[in-house]
Amino acid sequence: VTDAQPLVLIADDDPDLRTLVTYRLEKSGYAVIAASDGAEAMELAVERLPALCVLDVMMPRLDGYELTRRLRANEATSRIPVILLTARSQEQDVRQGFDAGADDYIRKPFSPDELRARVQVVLGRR
Amino acid sequence: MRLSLTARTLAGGLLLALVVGATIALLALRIDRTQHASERQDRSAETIAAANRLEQSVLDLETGLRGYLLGGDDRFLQPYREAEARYPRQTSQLVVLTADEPAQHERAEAIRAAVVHYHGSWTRSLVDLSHRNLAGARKLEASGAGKEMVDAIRGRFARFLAVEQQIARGEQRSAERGSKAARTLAFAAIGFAFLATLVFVLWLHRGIVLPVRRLGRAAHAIAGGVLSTRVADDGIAEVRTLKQSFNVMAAALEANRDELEAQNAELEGQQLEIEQTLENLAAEQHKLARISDFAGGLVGMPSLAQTADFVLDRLCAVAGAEIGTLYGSGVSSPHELVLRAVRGIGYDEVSEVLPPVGLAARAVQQRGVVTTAYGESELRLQSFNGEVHVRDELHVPLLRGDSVVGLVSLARVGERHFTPTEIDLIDRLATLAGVALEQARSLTHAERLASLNRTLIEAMPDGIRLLDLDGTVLSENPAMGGLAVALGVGSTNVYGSADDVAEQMTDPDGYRASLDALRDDPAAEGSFEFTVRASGRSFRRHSVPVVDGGGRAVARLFVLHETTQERDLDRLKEEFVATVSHELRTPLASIVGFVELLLGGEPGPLTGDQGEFLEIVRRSSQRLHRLVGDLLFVSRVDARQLDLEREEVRLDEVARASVQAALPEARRRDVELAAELVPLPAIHGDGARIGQVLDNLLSNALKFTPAGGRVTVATEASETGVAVVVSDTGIGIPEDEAERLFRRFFRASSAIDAQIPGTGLGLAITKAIVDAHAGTIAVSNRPGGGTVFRVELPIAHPLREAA
Repeated sequence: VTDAQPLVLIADDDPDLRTLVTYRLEKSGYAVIAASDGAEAMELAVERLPALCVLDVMMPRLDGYELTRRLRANEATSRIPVILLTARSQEQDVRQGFDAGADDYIRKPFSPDELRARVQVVLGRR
Repeated sequence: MRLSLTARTLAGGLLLALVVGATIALLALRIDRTQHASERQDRSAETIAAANRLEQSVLDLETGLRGYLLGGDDRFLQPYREAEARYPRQTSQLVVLTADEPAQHERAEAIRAAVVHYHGSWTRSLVDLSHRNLAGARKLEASGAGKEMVDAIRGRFARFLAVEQQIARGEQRSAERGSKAARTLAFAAIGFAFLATLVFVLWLHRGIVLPVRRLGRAAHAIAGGVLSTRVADDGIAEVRTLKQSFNVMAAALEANRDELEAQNAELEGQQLEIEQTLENLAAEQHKLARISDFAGGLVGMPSLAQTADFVLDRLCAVAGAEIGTLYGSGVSSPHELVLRAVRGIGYDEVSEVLPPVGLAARAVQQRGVVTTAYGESELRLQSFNGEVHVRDELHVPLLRGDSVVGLVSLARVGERHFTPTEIDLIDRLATLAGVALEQARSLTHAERLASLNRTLIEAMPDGIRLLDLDGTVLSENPAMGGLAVALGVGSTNVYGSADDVAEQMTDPDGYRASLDALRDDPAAEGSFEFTVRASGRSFRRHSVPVVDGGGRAVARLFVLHETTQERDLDRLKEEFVATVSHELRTPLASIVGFVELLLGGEPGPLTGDQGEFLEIVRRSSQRLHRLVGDLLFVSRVDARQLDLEREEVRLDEVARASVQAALPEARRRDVELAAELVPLPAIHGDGARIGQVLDNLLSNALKFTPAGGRVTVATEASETGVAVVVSDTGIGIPEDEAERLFRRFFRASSAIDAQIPGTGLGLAITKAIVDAHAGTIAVSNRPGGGTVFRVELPIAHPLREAA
């Protein structure tokens, strides 16, 4: 892990998915830190100030929407882009995510290559 | 011209009065004239006397003077002086008395002038002379001149008196003539008046008194009963009218008497009839008393069985029948006659249902009484009196209107036939019995139904409550009572307590509005669901109006059904689906993701088989993914959570995109995919969902069409909107399965036989989307094999509101 590699925070309660996302992003040249629930992710975000957050929606203790809102509310983390991973696909869920302050969302199941492409797009936009 | 009696009497009287009046006037005239003549006569006498007195005075003047002269003594002049003082008055008197007789008047004036001349110019001169020269006076006197003057005056007097006497005589004659004529006239007038009065009285006697007397006699005769009496209708005016009226009156009286006599005769004839009728009435009254007694007894009967017993008992008594049976309509089967009462015979000896043949059945068919008399040994019955012989039978149907509601059979053992009077009475009693029996049966039937209803309502787990139009609770079943207590709505008026009750609900406004709507429209019908805040229990209240015979709402029925469990189930299902979709997708995401990583070769190179197998894993996981998506979609449709976008959609463009997307698959399967798209007007709808419809239909068509086949997508304008038709040359669908094709999880037998994979959800989802657009979808078999799906979507139709 070098300083040149952008730091991505991922949060998902499913370890397999954490492994999948971590593998894909690290192979694509990103530094990855992972959290297994929303509260832990919030702590890590404040502590490490990642370049990007990839957050699952349905997590114990603190769900992805609420976590996004808190990141936006915190001055230190308010400008960190957020991509939501959601098993839901209803339009209203998507809207709820954007309302909370997310920059993009990816439906589960997703293609790892699509994830990498979207991460690049969001980071490149900043 | 006929004059009235009054006119005639007046005319007669007037004539008489005229004659008498004229006579009296004439008499008065006569008397006046006679009186006048007499007056003239008196005046003539007076005139003569006056003339004589004046002449004496003149003589006194002359003789007095002469005496004086002769004597020469003044004393002798005394007569002269007296005459000198007397004569002027006397001359004036004479002139006045002759004023009416001009000739005599003239003579009188001449006498006065001569006398005045004689006195003034002669005598007075001589007297004066004598005082101075008596002798001269004597000489002058002796000349005789004075004497001549006096003689002339006396001549005048003589003529005057002669004429005056002539006048007096004429007047006397005239007076005598006048009085004589008056006497004659008076006699004549009295005679005439007497005659005229006599004539008038005679006329009155003949014209009035006699007719009236005759009328009086005639009236007396009529009063005595001789009504044929008449009077001659002659006579004058009113009398004639009186007679005519009398005759009319007499004729009327006679006619009345004749009529009365005729009526009297008739009445005598009727008297007999009345007596006969009274006898009949007495008999009828007796009959009616029995009928009334019978009817009175029927009214008090409490049950069907007792009514039947009473009817049979009385009919047997009236008929003098020892044996009787009564059949009546079945309580719930009015067309069947079943045994209801027996008398003089056991229940088990007669049929329980009226036999369809025989005399009784004939009475039913004829709707009238049937009687028969048997011979001595024709019919024997076992009774508790032993074996008896029946002589006479009578069967009378009990009618209610035109329908037979019962039948009574009566039988006599004794030696007596049924008389017409008895049959008539029994027939009439049977009519009453029919009505009573039918009412008792209806009542029993109604009681059974009511009991059934009551049981049903009371056993019902749902709450049932009946309100009047003002919301007052009329009745409710036990279940409602329990619910009302649990809900705290145990009030007597539903509308009155609506506000209080509404506050206990999760949606007070909605609850109140739902009750308001029902109260405002008594004919409204509808359901409303509400949840009690405190307990969380949910209910569906269904309400229907209760209408009378005329269709007018008179009350309202509430049926309260607890939906708490249903709601819980719905919620559980939703949660289940959400959980499943999440819990399935998360591992699926891992599978799909890692397989893709492996296939991408990044973790390391794969052998040929490894790659092939991983490809199978990838396809399977994608199918699983689609299946999860479909299940989720279906559950949303069930939960009415299918949200549709509203946008302008061109069906032909949506179809073109779907065809484009399906082309690789078609090529892979070696199926020809043709598009025959005509431009169509835009409709309102959800383009993505409509695309899903086309994707599903195309995917099916390709799936079920063998290689070398053909799939066609065509668009066209339809009657109400737009249509798209997807046809293929595939394996087809058995016709009897077409209807079930759109059901969830249903798969056509042809698809199963051909071992073509599928979930049976695609067409169900397709139909759900089409339905949400108020469209239609139909399937048919293509001639020559294959299937045709046709989807029609309306242009102008508001999208169904997603609940």
